Amino acid sequence: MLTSHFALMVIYALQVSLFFAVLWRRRFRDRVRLFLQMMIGMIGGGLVLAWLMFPFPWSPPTPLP
Amino acid sequence: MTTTPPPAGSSPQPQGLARQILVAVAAWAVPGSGHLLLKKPRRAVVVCGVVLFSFLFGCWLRGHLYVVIPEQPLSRLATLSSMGAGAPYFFARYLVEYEGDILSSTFEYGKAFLLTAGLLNLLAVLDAWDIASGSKD
Repeated sequence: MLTSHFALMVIYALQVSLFFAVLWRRRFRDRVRLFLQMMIGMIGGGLVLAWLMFPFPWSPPTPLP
Repeated sequence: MTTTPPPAGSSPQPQGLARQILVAVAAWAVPGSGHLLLKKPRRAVVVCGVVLFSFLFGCWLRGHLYVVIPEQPLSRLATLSSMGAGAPYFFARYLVEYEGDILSSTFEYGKAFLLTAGLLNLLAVLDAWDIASGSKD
């Protein structure tokens, strides 16, 4: 089973970007541009959000029983 | 976000209401078939491929396939979203009796992929409707 958060995020971003690029744009060049914009936006946005949330929670995690 | 205007020289051709409804129902029932009826084979392949991939990948991850739970009103929306995938939803729900596995570590991820498959197909239905009505090429 694929359990890598990052790999799953990339697969998700790939399929959604491909879908919208084909449905929303007509010219090949425009499709490629929108595809890359959406891919970079989703993957980059996810990484930035993960980085911003890195310090949380402030306290050390509670040990498992 | 706006769509690209159609290239000069090609004007979208509106079709009858019955044809529009047929295209929309076909697009919902079998992902990609609406665009195929409208002679848009490339878009049909992408819609079919993405929706089926997302649905099957969600099942492979053992994600939750929603059903209506009366005590949980939001489950109605989630079920409608999942049903947006059309035939794959009913095939998985009633023929294979797939439900998902809550003990799977990828349960939530799979659920996201299954919901996405339905929502993307609903957007494809709207796109097919727009093309059939002549407001888009």
